[in-house]
Amino acid sequence: MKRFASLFLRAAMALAFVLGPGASPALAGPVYHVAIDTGSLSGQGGYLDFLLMGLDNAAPVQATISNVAGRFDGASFTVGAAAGSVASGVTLDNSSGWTEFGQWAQFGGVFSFDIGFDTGAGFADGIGAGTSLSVALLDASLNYLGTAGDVATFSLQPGQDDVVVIGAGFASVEANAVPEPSTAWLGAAGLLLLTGMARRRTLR
Amino acid sequence: MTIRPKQTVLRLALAAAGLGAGLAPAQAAAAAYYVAPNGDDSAAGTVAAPWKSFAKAQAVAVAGDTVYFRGGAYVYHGGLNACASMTDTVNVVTLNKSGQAGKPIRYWAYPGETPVFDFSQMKDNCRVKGFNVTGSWIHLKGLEITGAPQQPGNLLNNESWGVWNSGSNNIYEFLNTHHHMGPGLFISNGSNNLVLNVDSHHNFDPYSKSGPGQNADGFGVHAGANRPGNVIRGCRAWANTDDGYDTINAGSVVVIENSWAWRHGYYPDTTTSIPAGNGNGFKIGGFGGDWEANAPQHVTRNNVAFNNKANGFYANHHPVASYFYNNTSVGNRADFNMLGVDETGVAKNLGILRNNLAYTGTLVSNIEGADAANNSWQLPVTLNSSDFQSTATTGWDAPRLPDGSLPPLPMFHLRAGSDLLDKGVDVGLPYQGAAPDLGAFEGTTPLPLYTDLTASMKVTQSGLVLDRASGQTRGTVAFTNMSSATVSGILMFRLDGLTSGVALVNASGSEGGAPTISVPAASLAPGATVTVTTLFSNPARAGIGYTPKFFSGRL
Repeated sequence: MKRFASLFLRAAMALAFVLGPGASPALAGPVYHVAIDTGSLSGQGGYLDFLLMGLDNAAPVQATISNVAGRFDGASFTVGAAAGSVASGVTLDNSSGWTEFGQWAQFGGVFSFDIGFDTGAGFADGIGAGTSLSVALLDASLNYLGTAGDVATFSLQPGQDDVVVIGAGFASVEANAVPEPSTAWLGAAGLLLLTGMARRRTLR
Repeated sequence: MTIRPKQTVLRLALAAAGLGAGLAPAQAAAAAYYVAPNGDDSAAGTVAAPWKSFAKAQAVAVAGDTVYFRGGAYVYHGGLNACASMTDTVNVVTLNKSGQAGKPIRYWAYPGETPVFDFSQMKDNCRVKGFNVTGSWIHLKGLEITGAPQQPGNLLNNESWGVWNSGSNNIYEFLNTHHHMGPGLFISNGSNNLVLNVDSHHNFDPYSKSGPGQNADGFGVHAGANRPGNVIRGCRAWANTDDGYDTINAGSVVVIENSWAWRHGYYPDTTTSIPAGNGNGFKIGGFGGDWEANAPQHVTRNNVAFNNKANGFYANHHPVASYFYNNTSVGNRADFNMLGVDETGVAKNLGILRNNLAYTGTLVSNIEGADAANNSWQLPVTLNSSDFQSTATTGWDAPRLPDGSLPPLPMFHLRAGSDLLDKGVDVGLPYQGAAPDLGAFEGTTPLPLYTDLTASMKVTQSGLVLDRASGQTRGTVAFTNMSSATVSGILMFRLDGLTSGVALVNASGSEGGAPTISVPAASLAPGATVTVTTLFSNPARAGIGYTPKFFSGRL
């Protein structure tokens, strides 16, 4: 289990948004780079699956999955408020309670992607219930493939740091305090703050 | 496992929750509409664009439909009609559109919210019927109704009414009707009406011509002959200036069961007698002292009356013997008073009494000659406080359970070893052991007295993860004691309003339809946190919601 200093980063980003032009309520935390080595599943097909779930009173969260690399073919599916593709990037938000995206893949190699989370105003203040994003390798019947559980779970709790649980030895996760492209316009004060935060970033 | 398209899943979830107007063809015959205090009658009546008025909802809704009222105040400043004279009656919410058998029109509170219908601002200078229900097959649920007024200076009338019914086959459920200048709920006519889990309290008619306070009952059922099937069940009446339950002039059998009455006949929230207020807990029958042919034998069972100014259970000059089974009466001027009347108008004690329990106060009055057996005052038993799990007479107005049922309180439940156990006789009611116990509550199962401490807790609900092996969804809830006092006792977490179709797999019990989990801690110091795991079964993949409640119980 890893606990990332995302709350502090989000608070800093919030301040950056406030100081920057065209302030937005959405707050971005760190971008997590995830790599999944599926060598032990060589020759098998299955879904690379992302499931975002929270209670009805969960604080708003949108997950963006980008820079997806791996050997994909076949169909994808969505449940709830999920959209996009592995080529263009996938977004999932927790407005529908159960939000899921799965993409059929041929396992055996390394799959990688970046995950970022945008949270609403008040998240840093601890308002609302939490949300979890689970990453799993699944067979055609949506049962676990080669594992007994999810390969990684990201737990976002308002007012608390993110917690990442890596399971089954498939995945590695790194956190990069890189602002998303949409935040590139941030004002100078915000950028200064981010620089300061980046220096402080550590895996606890 | 089949992947459902997004819209199908949402529809299933909404259907399971009983929400969502006209989303799926299967629901077209039973639409759901919405009303809100800040709504607009020109809107669509959806949850996003609710109507404003009850009248609009009634105009559109048909048999089988449900109208949900969002929480907040619906304040009325005048009736539908004007007072033609100072002795006229104005109606405020008239429900004259009927549903059908098996397809009632439902006017329900939106889940988890309390709509309050407030008539106290009205200045109409005559009598007022807050809710005037003349239609049939109508179901009111979860509404708070208050303030049906009389006007100072107008002493030409008797009471106004909070809810007035003349229809049949109606259900009044989980209502809180209070602070009216007249009865909280009044069944004037009709048959087969069910009054279920309703609270009626603090009703006081200060401007009645018959005397201040003489007409404000908690509940009145006064339908005439050939109006069978009216039932009051699971109700509470307290602090009303007249009687708790009054069936005077009822020409058909009225059943009152599993209901409570206390502190009647006083100025509300005092022990100062209001002279004109009768002050009976249960006033069962009577025709103003007259003998009536074909008078009904009312049924009054498993009720509790305490600390009423007059009688706990009173026959009120009824011409025939009504049934009084397994009632508990404590601290009333007479706990059981069976004053009846014979054909000649002469007083005669009438009643069929079995398994009743009278404790403190004047136990019985006008009992000689009544058909009484196996009651506490007739048996070689000794009553004292050790017979009961509690003898407290406060706390009876505790919040109801999530489904509206009465709170499980220990008061006047028998304790193991009591000599009141198994001393009754079989009267057709369920019982445990060799014979029925005496009083309203069967058995000796210890009941903790729970206190809701949710407000003292910081509640942190995690996100949810799916265990695909079990199909269960897992989350955690952390309770942090934010008070300065240690919380101890039997700690319990209750999930109120859990989404329909979702089950809590690891529930350790339930209360009022809500699952509970025993909190794995004996105490919680200030600032301490206890975390509870929740496991849900959610086959429809609905969004999961509930209101967390934290209780501490003591035996």
